[in-house]
Amino acid sequence: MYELIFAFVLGSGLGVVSGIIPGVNVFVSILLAFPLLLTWEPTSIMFMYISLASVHQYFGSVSATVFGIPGSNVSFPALQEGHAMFQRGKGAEAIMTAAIGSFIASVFAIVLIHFSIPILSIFYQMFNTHLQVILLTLACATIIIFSDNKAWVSFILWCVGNLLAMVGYHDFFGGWDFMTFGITALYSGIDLLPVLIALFVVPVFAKAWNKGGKIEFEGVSVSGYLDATRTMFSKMKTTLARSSVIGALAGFVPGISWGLSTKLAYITELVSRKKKGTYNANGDVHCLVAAETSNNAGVYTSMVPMLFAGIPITASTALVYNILLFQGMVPTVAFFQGLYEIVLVGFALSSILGLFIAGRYVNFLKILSGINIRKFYSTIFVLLVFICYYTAQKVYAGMDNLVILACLLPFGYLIRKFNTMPLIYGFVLHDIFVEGVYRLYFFY
Amino acid sequence: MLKAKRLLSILTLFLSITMLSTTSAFSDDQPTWKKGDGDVNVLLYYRPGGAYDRMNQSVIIPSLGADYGEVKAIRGCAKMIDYLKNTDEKVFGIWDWFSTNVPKDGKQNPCHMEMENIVSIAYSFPYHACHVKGAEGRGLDDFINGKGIRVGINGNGIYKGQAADVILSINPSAKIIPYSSSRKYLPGLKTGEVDYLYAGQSRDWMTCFASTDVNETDMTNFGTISDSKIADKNTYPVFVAFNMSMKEATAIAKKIHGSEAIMDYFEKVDRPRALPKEVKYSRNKQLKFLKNWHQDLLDLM
Repeated sequence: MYELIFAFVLGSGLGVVSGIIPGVNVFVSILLAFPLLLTWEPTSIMFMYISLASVHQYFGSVSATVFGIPGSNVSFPALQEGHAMFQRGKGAEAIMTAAIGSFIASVFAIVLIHFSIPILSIFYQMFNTHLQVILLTLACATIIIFSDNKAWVSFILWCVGNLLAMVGYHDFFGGWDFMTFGITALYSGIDLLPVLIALFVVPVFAKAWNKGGKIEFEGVSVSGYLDATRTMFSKMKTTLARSSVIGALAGFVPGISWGLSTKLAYITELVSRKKKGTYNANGDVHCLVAAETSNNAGVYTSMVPMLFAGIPITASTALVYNILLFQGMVPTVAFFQGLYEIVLVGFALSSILGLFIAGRYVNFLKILSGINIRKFYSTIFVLLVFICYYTAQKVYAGMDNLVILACLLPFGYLIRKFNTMPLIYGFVLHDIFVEGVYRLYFFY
Repeated sequence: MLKAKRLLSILTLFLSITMLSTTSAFSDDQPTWKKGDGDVNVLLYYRPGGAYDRMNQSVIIPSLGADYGEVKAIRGCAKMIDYLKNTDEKVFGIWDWFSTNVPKDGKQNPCHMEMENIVSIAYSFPYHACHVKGAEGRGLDDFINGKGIRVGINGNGIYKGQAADVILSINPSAKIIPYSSSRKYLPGLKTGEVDYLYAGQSRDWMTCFASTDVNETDMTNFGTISDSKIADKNTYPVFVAFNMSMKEATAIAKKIHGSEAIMDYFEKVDRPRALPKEVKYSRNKQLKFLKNWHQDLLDLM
């Protein structure tokens, strides 16, 4: 029992830290606890994992919204919409609605999976390469068509993202060397962090820098939460339902899972809002809620293939699987199915905790009110550069990241007037999209 | 003054959180293992938590005992090679010599490991043909005679050529479907988009009926159903060493091969508790074997 409590506390704590700091994702957080986990019971490991993954989703959006720091790889919608809301003094609303939306989606995912257990295998079998490629094509096409730029500009940005992702040595494509120029640091490709900072965060900061001014930030109260919940249920019913369903289903996609959940739900909402003419270019709360809602639903369903088929489909679940192997467990399907209830309880508890502490975190951030926006962004930028170096230096790649960042920064500044989301989509989805298309070629 | 204090406190908050995590890992490629007091470091250029890391942690480090220094985790094999060429520290570890020794555009692969650094074959891992347990009509006969069966493989570099040669020599009408990792091909089999896997992994929901390993006597050996000259050959990771005498490195390799830990490791990954017979060869004979086997693979690419 004590081990379970400790697992929950550790998982949630790591979820908060990893959600705030870019470069520290769920996978890395499990590595942090790796030696400890080797000594734990499987139930505690799963309890810790699901608490971590769930709380991580709550806090990734908080640091993206407030600081413009993409705390996790799925935080770009929060950075795009939430941070824009923060810039116009609506930061508290952004965080609160995102947290409530995430909680609602978590409940939805729990109910969906619980009552779908008899037909889960049918669900799961739908998510083959064909459907994955269709979903990824839709994601890329819609972000190109419906971002704030002209379609051809977005297309070029998307291509640039793909080109950056292609840099490296590709064993899978028969040993193809693309733009490494013989530099060994480039053989394993370009890290996400320098690309995100230079080509996504810097354009956002540059726009805000020109406006200047001071930060306005109000905290939230319990009544604020209740009002926001009421408002969301009356005005965002469709957004919540649609994003929860998209998030839950996309969570099944191997290799990308809740990352795809976020992207699909965000662009679906973006398209819907733009068609209706209701999209707020200065930070749209519906789009933010859609993205944040979906990733929480996706986190839970990403566990389903492991729990009910014994197959980990994300890097972090694969690591958990390997920890169990390390311990000498025989990870059979029956073994994993026996862990379903503990995962359910862990996810439910961590969702409640995430909802609560995300709110407390908001109030703490009232300290930011009145700070000069240029000083604020300068500080954050320096911090991001430090993190970009430090995260990679652990594997002797700190200078590599700094050089890549320095090379990309001028381009980030030059494209500051554009919405660079298509570029980031191109970069992040490249590998799984190209592999899927390549595999389809072999099917036909 | 007040604003400066605020700014400072926010910065302190973030730095504190950052420092909280500095005791261990930050990056995807960062292991979290403690340092030892010895002077032999263990290399890791693959993802922590994967098969090679498990081998490091559960077999190599315990075998090094007091000689163990630390795990040197460096992202990517090309950077690892750079490091190994420039360090004067003792380093020992496993290297996927087969896949990192494929010439690139007629030049040496950036991950090329010189044979002088190869100590011995570490172990071997076989390939299995498997289908979903209970799948109707699937099995050895269908694998050989089924028209247009779809077989999922590890499509990375040299392994794709090997898999395609063996599978197509058995069933020329088979469709070879490449995947980049087990996280992709295991779901591929489970969702039914491929009928069989030709891969190293097996799971309790699979039935595996053929193997490249003659030690796996409960399965049909590929050599008996295929005329490919590589049908009965496994893949052989090697032990490598830097800044150590070959005598010292060979002693470590022998200690690992003689340990119970390596057999336990095999059992955990569902392989026979046996080393390949080539491990008993002299070092020169092992190197010759590797070179010939590798050349066979290159010829298939």
